[in-house]
Amino acid sequence: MTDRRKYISIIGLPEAGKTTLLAALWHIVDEDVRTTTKLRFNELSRGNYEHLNAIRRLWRAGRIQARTSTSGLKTVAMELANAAGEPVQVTFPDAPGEEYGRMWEERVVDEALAATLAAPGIALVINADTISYPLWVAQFAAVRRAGRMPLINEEPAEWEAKHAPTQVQVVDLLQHLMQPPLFIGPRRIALLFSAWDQVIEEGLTPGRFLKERLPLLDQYLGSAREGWSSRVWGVSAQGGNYDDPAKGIRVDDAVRLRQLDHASERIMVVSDAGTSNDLTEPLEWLMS
Amino acid sequence: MATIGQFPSCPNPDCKVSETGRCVEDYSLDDCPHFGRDTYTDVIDGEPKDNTFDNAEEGSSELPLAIGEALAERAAAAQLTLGRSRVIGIAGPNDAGKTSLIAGLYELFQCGPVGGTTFAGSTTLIGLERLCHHARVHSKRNVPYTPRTSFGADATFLHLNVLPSGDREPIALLVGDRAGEDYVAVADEIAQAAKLFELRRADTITVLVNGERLVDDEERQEAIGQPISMLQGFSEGEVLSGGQQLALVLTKCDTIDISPRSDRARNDFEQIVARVRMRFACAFSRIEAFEIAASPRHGNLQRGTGIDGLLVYWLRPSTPPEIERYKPPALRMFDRLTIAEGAEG
Repeated sequence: MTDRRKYISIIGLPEAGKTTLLAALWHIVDEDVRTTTKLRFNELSRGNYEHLNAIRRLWRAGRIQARTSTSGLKTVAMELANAAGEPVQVTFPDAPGEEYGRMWEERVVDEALAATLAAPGIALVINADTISYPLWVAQFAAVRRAGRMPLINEEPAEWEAKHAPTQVQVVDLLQHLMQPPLFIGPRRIALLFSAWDQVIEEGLTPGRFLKERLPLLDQYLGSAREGWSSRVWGVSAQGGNYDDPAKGIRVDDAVRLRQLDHASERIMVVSDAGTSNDLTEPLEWLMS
Repeated sequence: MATIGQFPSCPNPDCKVSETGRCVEDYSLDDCPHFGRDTYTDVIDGEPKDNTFDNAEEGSSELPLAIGEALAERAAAAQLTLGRSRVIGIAGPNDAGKTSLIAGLYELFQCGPVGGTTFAGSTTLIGLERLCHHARVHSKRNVPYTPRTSFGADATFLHLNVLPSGDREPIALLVGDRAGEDYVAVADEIAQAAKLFELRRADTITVLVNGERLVDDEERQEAIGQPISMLQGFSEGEVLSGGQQLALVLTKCDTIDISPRSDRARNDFEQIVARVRMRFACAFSRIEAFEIAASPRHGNLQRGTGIDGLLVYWLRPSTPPEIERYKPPALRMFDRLTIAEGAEG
């Protein structure tokens, strides 16, 4: 018997949108027959889909996902079939983003998480709407002076790792995956810019967005020195803002999205080649 | 065996131990360093029992990762063994801008390729981020500030892998960081040069001339004399190999540009360069001059102005010192005859 399991690690810093992506993916492969996808649901097998169904319920209702930090590291598996009808089991760890944050700030990785990072296919999720950029004192002070705003009058703050720019933290994370104890050899990486609907008005393709917004990461991946083979997608798994019942927040976007006849219409997958609803496109590339 | 994951028990993706019962590396299962890290017995008995695993309940331990701080001498030497490299020593008095230069180069890469050279990784990202902190908004400062490197501490190295335009193999750039007092001290006591391993190993020695001091009447003469004194100390202290490049760098050009004494300062720098060329031409394979503004305070120049040209220079291969061929003493008159080059017939 050949091993038909395919392993993909979905990784990303806190609040990147990893769980939402999984919920939308589960919807589109399990239920949606309208959308032509590269991978399709195959069978339930003997699986337990409690976690996947729970996060999909929230997604369908237009409510934001509970932070994975509170629900811990989960690993989910989907029984799928590719275009040729061959069965594949795709397995994803759904880890709290804080665990990846710890790899940057505390320079340690939880052993259980390390085991899930042994996948040759990596889906790296970056929230396109919450990227932290390096901001320099001189430029910031010049802007405040020009706007006749008062300068900062506070005690200088000590350095904290968590304030590092997003691109630095992500490069560091990818470097860890290419060094012991996480090294497994060359890997594929699908770079998924989540919340793409929030940045689409900038008119950039995902590849251009990477080059202009995260140039350090773009250079690192482009150098291909450490064995990364990469592609970039812009992904909107929600299609807009969702309600946050825990905070009592209700938004018009969620009302609009709930009124769509087909929930899969909320999903947008943009590559430099075009736009679709097929969230399995990056997965298929990672497995090919 | 405890269940902690869904992957094959062997993290090596090439290993099909779950199908064949045999380790791909031919270890016995007891000896394999990878096997048994997770639920091997559970998996080979059949399909995983659940499609969801709550890994958090296992209370697993932590694995240490690379610390990302500036490298000590030995760790830097290890980097040199991995491929092409350039070691850069940056010498200058306090406040000349040594740390700002390193931070400025790194900050330029945050915005894109520098002088056609792209960033290809770094083992010292934490160290570089620390250097940059006081020029970033999170420091809550209004003016960029660079903390002093500790006097007397050993030099450390910041590391950047860079890929020059058109090249396929990156170059490991290791830039030394040491307190300015240690370099100035060599002019007072040659023996102090013994500890300057980062300069002795350097492909390029970069001597900084503080532009801010050149426009200050009180500081000016000392700023003019100091580079020569330092280089004399390096020469007599046998820091220079003869094959190294020298970069003479005028720093803080944003301050010079807004000063009424800017022409005088640039003229002073030209004089310094001329004197260095005259006295130390034989000590270096090349000598070139640069002007930079690594972390401008006045808004008249872009951050990192001039660093791109300096980087291109740093990446040039240094020329190994020419070794004079041994000529055995000619005992016969015939052996003392030489062939005149270009002689006809």
